[in-house]
Amino acid sequence: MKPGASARSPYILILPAIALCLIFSIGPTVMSVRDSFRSVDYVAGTDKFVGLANYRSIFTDGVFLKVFGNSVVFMFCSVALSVPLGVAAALFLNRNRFIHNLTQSVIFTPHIVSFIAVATLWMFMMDPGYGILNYALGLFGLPPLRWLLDPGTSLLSLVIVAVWKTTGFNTLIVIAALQKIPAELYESARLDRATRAGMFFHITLPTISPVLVFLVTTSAISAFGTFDIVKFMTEGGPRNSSNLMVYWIYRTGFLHFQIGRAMAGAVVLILFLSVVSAVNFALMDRRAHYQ
Amino acid sequence: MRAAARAAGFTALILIFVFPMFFMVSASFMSRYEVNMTPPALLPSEFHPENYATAWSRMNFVHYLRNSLLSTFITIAGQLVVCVPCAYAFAKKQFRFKKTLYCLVLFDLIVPAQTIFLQIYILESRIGWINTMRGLTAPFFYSAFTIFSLVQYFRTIPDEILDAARLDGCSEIRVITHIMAPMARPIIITAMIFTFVYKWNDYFWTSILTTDEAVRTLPMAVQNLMPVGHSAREWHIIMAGNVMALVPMLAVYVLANRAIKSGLIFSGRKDLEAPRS
Repeated sequence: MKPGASARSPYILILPAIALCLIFSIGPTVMSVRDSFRSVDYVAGTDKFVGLANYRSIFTDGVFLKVFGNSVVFMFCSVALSVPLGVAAALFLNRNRFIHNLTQSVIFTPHIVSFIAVATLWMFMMDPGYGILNYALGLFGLPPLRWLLDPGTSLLSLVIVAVWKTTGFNTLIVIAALQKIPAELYESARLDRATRAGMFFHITLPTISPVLVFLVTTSAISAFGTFDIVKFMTEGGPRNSSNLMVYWIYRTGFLHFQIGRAMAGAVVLILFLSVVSAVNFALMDRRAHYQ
Repeated sequence: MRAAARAAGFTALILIFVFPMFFMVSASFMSRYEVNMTPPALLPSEFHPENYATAWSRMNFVHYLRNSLLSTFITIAGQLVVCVPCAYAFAKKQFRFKKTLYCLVLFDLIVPAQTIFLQIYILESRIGWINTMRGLTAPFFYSAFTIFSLVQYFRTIPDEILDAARLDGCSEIRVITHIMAPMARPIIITAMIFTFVYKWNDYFWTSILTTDEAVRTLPMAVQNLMPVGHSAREWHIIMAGNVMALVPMLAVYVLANRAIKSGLIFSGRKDLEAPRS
């Protein structure tokens, strides 16, 4: 082996990835932070340092605060629903029979298709006029809802769609964790006359808890980064009732051309998400090593 | 008692998760009158397969299908060229600043791309890449997630085999293409299936990096079936279009069911959707 070639070659192998990473990832991140402290107008060609003015501006803006609050509510509700639902479905489907495997595959399907496909289907069912959901409410004697068109229910409607899409993934991961629990544990518990609830709380839950932590962090990240259904289903409306962070950045930057303010919002989002991602990444690394 | 509870649970699962999908397919064969009936019809009284023909031409299906296929396969090819050699170097070579550079490459795992899209848009518009296929694919040739999963797997391949190949006079590129890639086939295929799913379903980047229909992909075509405002929606046509846009993805899911699921369980990757990771 020629020593010169082997000393250079690793750098040549990683060069394209490093270059793309610098151009499309690290560069834009640095620029986001920079622009958040500046007043930038690409049309007029102005670009000047304004200190924390953009941050002050968004944190005194009722819309931004509302959107941040919406994102927290959306994240909390979708995690609080999709993780327990995933666990319930997993406990239920954790049997190696054909019908259970098939059901599990079907429940997982929404995770693999685009948010747009799922959103289109739910907009059909949430149609305020002839939608099947309003018909179902009627069967229980409940008044019809206007779902996406009502400020009181629009965020909840998005939560329903997100939960429907992600529960299958949670089910898949929890089933995989359940199948790693040794059967002897349950047998000896049964010999000790443990109740089913006792077995769940003392064997099942502690064993799968690392997986649950992982599901909570990843669900939180994806919930906080939600864009597709907001843009496609409600465009944040009515009256920002279903507006979430990423869509707010999109609108502020793209439609109102307030780059500085949009970037200040983006930095807030980066800080928030990178903390959660760092936790998630640490967990993921551990899983990858011990599996 | 237990059996009754189990039956109730099972019914609820089917009703919540299976019924909407069944209803979508069923509605796609209904007439315009039937799809707007109260109480809703669950099955079409007569089949209207012509809804699919209407949706096909109205959404200009071929144009968007072509763009979806192109952007997806260009991205996959790009990732193979960019990520595989990079992962090989990090897994099997020793060099200075390796740790620092690896952290740099994994940057995307920590900062999701949804937060920096505006700057990527600004960058692409400066160099005239908006509404081009290269603008829609090149940024995604690099994927922190692909590199990370490849490195994990490449590390398990014994050095002796690679050394033997080098002694036989193989260049590094040849070692990658003839020894590493074949031995790591399962993980490479899994990673590329993920890239396929992610790119095929992408709506976020298409809506950021395109302003006209030239390179837009299938999710945008479904959106175009939706009328603006609250005019009466022809749900039977929209559902037909939606089913058509879904079919390729479902086919991949059926064919690669096991690879997708085991890949997800192994890697713990959540997002097939928004972030570029």
